Parts: sequence; C-alpha cells; structure tokens
Amino acid sequence: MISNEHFLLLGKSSTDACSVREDHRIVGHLVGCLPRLPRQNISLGLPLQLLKEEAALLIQRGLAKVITDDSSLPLPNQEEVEKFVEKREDLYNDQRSSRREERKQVVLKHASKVLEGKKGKKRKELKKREEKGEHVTAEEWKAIDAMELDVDAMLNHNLQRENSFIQIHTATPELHRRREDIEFEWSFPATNADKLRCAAFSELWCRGFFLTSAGKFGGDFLVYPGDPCRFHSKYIAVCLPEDQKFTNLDMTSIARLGTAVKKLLILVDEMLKYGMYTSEKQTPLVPLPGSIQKWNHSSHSY
Amino acid sequence: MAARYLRAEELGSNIAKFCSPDLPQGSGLKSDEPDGSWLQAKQIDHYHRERKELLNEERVQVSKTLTKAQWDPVAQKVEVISKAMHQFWKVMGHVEEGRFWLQPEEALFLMDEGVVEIYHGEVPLSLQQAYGMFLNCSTLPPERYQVYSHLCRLGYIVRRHVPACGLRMTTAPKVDDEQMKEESSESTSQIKRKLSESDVDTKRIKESTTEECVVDQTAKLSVADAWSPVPKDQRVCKKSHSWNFAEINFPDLSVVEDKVMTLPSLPSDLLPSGISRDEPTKYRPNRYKQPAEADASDQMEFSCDAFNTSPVENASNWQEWKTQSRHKCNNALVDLVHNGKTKPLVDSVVGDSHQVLSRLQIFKPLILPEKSEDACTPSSPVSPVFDVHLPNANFKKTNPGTPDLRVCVYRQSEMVPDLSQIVKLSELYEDNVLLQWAVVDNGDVAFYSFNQIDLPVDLTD
Repeated sequence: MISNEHFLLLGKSSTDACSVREDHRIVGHLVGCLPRLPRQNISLGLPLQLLKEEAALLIQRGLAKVITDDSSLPLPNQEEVEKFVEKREDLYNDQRSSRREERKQVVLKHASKVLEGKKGKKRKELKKREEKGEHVTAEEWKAIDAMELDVDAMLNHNLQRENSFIQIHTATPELHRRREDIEFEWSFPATNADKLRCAAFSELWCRGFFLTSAGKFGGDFLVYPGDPCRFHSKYIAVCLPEDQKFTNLDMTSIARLGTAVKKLLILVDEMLKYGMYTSEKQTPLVPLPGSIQKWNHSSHSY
Repeated sequence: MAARYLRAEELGSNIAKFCSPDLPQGSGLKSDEPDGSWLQAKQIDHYHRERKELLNEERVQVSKTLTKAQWDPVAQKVEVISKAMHQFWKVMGHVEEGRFWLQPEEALFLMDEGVVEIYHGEVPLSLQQAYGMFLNCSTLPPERYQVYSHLCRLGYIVRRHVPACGLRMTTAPKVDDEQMKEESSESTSQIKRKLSESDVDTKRIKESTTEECVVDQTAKLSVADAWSPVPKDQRVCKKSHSWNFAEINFPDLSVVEDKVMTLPSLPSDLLPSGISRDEPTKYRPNRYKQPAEADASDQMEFSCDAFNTSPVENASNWQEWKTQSRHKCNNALVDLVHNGKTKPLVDSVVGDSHQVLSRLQIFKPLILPEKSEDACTPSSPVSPVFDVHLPNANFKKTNPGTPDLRVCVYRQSEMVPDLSQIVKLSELYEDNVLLQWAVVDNGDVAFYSFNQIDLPVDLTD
C-alpha cells in the first residue's frame, strides 16, 4: 500500500482503501468526490486520508510505505506517448465493436418482428398498386416471402469518436507510471506529543479497537469497540504530554466532556499508564492492565 | 484489482450507474457493543461490500463533454485546451492573455468531479498523480484544497480571496514623502506590469476621503494574483497632490431634512469669564457653508480677549504652531480658565488630542500589541483564503460582488490566532461579511466564527 506525503492513500488499487479497514482496522477519512454523485458531502470517495498515527502504524508493520509527491514528474517520452495513443485508439475500436455487438444482439432479438414488419409494408405497397390497376406479377409476391433481413446493413451505424467513453483514472495505471516510487523520508514521531499520540494509538489499536480522530470532540482519538459503521464509539482518549501542565481545571473540563458526549474517558500519560475516568452511570467494561484508576465523576460533586 | 484500464464493455456499464445514482444506505442503527451475533457480522459485511463496490467505480465520461486541459509546471496552473460546454465556466477559471486558465484547486476538483481531463505532456494524469502534483505545501496546501472541495461540493461558489476588495483604507499608516515617492513609482510600475499581464476586471479599491488615497485605483487586480502577497505600499499611499474640496460636490443632506440642532441656553457662570454667547439659535451640523448663507448662519460670536489680543504667529508647520500656542496658553489662558468656579476636565498643558481623548475615556479600548502590525498584510498567515458566494445564477466571474463569507483555513494542530490578530483582521474590512475559520482535522472540515458581544452594563448605583 502506498501513501503520499500528505497521507492520501490511493494505493495501487481501490481495494487498498477497503483492505486497510477490513483487515487492519484502519479507518481513515475519505476526502474525494464520489464518482457517481460528486456534489455531496454525505458519502465521499477516494483518496483516503490517513492520520499520521495510522500511517506510522502501517509503516511500522511493513504494510505500507510513504512515497514522495509527483511534483517533479518527468514529461512522457515519445514511446510513452505512442503507447498511450495506441491504447486510446484500441479502446475506441473496442468500444466501436462492442457497441456494434450490443446493437447486433438487439437487432437479432427482434429480427423476426422487424422482418414481418418489412414484409407487411411491401405487401401493402403491392396492394395499392393493384388497386390503382397496375399489374403485379406473381414473382413479385413470391419475392416478398423470400425476403431476408440484412443484419449487417442495419449495423453500419458508426460510433463517433466524440461519443466514445473516456476513463479518468483514480489510481495510476502501469502505462502511465513514469518513474519509480521514491520513498519519502519521514521523521515521525518527532515531538514528545506526537510520540505519545503514536504510542497511545498503537496501544489501543493492539487491543482490537477501531480508532478515529476526535478533533471535533476535543480529544485525541475516538475509540470504537467494532467497525465504526455499526457501533458507537465507547471511549474518548485524551493524551497528556508531560511537558504540558495538567491542572484540576483541565481535569474537570475533560471529565465534563466525557459526560457530555456520553463516552468513557481514557487518559494516557507519558508512561502509557491509563486512567479510566467514568461518568456517572457507566463503568469501564474492558479491563486495562497497568495502573487503572476509577474515578466516578458526577457533575454535582466528586 | 489493480489500477487498470476499464474494458470497453465496462465503460458503458459504469456510465449506466451514474445515470441512476443512489447512495448506500449504511448499516442501520448503531449499537453500543459488538455481541458477536450473525446479524451484526452480516450487516458489517454488507456495508463493506457496498463500500468496496462504490470505491471501485471509476470516472467515465463521454469524450465530447470532457474538457481537456494542460498542466503548466512553471505557472503552477492548468491551461484549458478545449472547452466542453459545462456550467462550471460560470464560476471557475480566469482569462490571461487570451488563454483560459484554471487554478490547481479548481482543476483538481473538476477532475475529481470527472469533467476535466488534465494532460501532462501528451498523456493525461491520473487523479493520484494530480493530487501529488497539485497539492503542494507552498502553493496549495492540502487543507486549503479540502476546504475548497468541501464548499464546492455543497454548491457554494468559491473564489480565491482577493485582498483588495472591501479593505478599510483609512487605517493605513502614513509614510514619509520621499519614501512615498519611491514606493508610488515602484507600485505604478508594478501596476503597469499587472495591466499588461491580465485583463480580468476586479473591483476597484475604494478611495478614502482623507488625505490618504489609493494610487492604484485603476489597477486591475486579477484573481490570478489573488494569493500572491501584495505589498502594503501598493494598496495605500499618501496623496501627493491636493484636492480642492470646494469643487467636489458632496450631497448636502441637511437641506433635505430639517435637521436642526438647538443649543441649550447656558448659565453665564458656566462659561469662562470673558466669553459670552448670543441668543440660543438654530445650528445646522454638517453643513457646508454657502457663501450666500454665511451671514445668516454665522450668529455665534465668541468674544474672548485672550484670543483677540494675541498676535498672529508665523509658524512653518503644525508642530511649531502647537509649541507656540501651548507656550501662550501656559501664560495667559491657563490662569484665565482655572480661576473660575468651573474648571476644565483636562489640563490645557496636555496639547495632543490623543492624550486628551485617552484622559476622557473611562473604559480603555482593547490595546493591541505592536507585533500584530504585520497582521494586516495579506501575506501573513492570518488572512482569508477564500471568498465564498452563495449559489447564484447571475454570478459573474468578472464582477463577483461582495462575498457572503470569507474563509480562513487552519489545521487542527495549529495554534489558534491570538485575539489581536482576529480583531485586526475583522477591522481590516469595512463590509460586514462574516469571517469563518475552517479547521481541518484529518480531512474533516469544521467551521467556526468569532462574534463580538457587548456585555450588559448596569448603570444604577
């Protein structure tokens, strides 16, 4: 699996985005337009943007690599251009023949009806001529019975080039690849805060949870017991880097946060010790080893 | 399934899906805990299968409805080669030297939407390559693109922020004459260059009525230069020639409405000795003194001996005059004023009007630190990135009008701008356009805005 510098995962194929979620419990965030319905924000499409922590975890486990951006992509050489032109021409011809084939199927399906119709038309013509007093020979009547459908003549409708379909590729096909991937040298995590976030992410991930970013809630991660498509997040993880002061006031505010969003609060400190802080009614169901403290918080007193 | 060309038959079937688009329904109501049941597993599996199918879809377009464009790595923009009819032309793109251009974010979004095919050389780019090439921390940070595409998908008309539009001009600092001359010649040359470069019309910058005026009134700031830093001296310069305000016709509002202010009669002991006032009379504020009416309106007379007796001083500038008059005040006026029962609120020793004002103010206004000075320049990090217009059929690229929103883009990990920067930024614009702060958290866009509120004041004691 390949991600670029901004952790936008397109991978070698679209299945990468599915397999990180299904096989590796990495959720990410889809940020592109959905091809079938681009102008909406409800359901989005590729690329899948990964959290830095998600990317770090995948790299650490050898499941993905980060490559540099294509900003210095070389111009295609003559051979590559020819290959592309040839490919597009082939596709056009294929489309022509497949369109022709489709039409042939339709024509053959209705061939008997069409033939009947044509015969009927001819007969009417002859009848009219007889009524006018013209002489119609028996051979002419016979010729109508012997009429056959010329399928090929009906198919000489040709597909215009401007009506042919063109694909806009999401991931780069082999034909368009113009240079080898250069691995991006990524120094992450560098700061203490990042290291803590990374450690917390991989620790919780190892326990079998699904994690997403909790920026909107004011925490670090939302922790889901199962796939986020089916389950509510149960915990909200907040990292407490050592170099930042953590006062009682902060404690109160994040405990309030936990109560307000109906999630159990997981506090992670530098030593990767966990504190589980619960709001009034809930009790932690997943036992976490290490120093677990339980602290019942109610909005009235504690 | 690796990235590949769709086969001819698949192209057609893909198009058919676009004709009747519907979104997957999701996996129903969420529950709190996985219970390991068959039903839950089935629901998740169904969701995954639907998702996979959805993500596997490729963009397919009929050739004649596809706009073809070429990436220009030098200009960092996309030039349109062949235009297909599409409504995006109403709101996107710009013209430069008779060529049609798309900004990288516009091009990338249109490509994502499946209406533009972008070539690099003779071969079209894949979306993957385009993302890699266009998203660049210096020209187009990914957060900006994400906010842009988020708003575009919702149907808003999003343009790069043009710094000149709606700027409050009177707050500009004054510059010395010599420095100013240099700057103005420099800026006019820049303007000339700009004029030759582009013929896209944008708004003319509003002129201020004070002694400062805008040099590049006729300059056409193009959308192309929207994000390029505009030096401050180019926007505002001190006026070099004087205007005869008597020749400029300002509407005289006081004539239409009978706005008459009557001054209340004052007890004579409140006035300093030696100053008397005539009958309370009608006084018209904001009225330009007409020569014919001058006599009639000039009924207020002051008879202050101290003013009359002092000889007229010759001073070459205000500074000199101020020191002279202050000197005089110290001698004569101070005694005169301070002798009576009523004394002035402010010492006359304080000559500067700013000092007087500061003494009169009981509540001190927010004092902004000096370092926020650079916040006004559009090149500083705190500056709107996009002008957002509501969907509008009559929208014109050449004359977009006042935007409905201005959007600043921030990353979740970035520091919140300090109060002085926010205040400076909101003071920079005189139209009351809402300033929104888009905060991007791993592809998730949230919008925030700061509102000023007045705390109620209880005046009873």
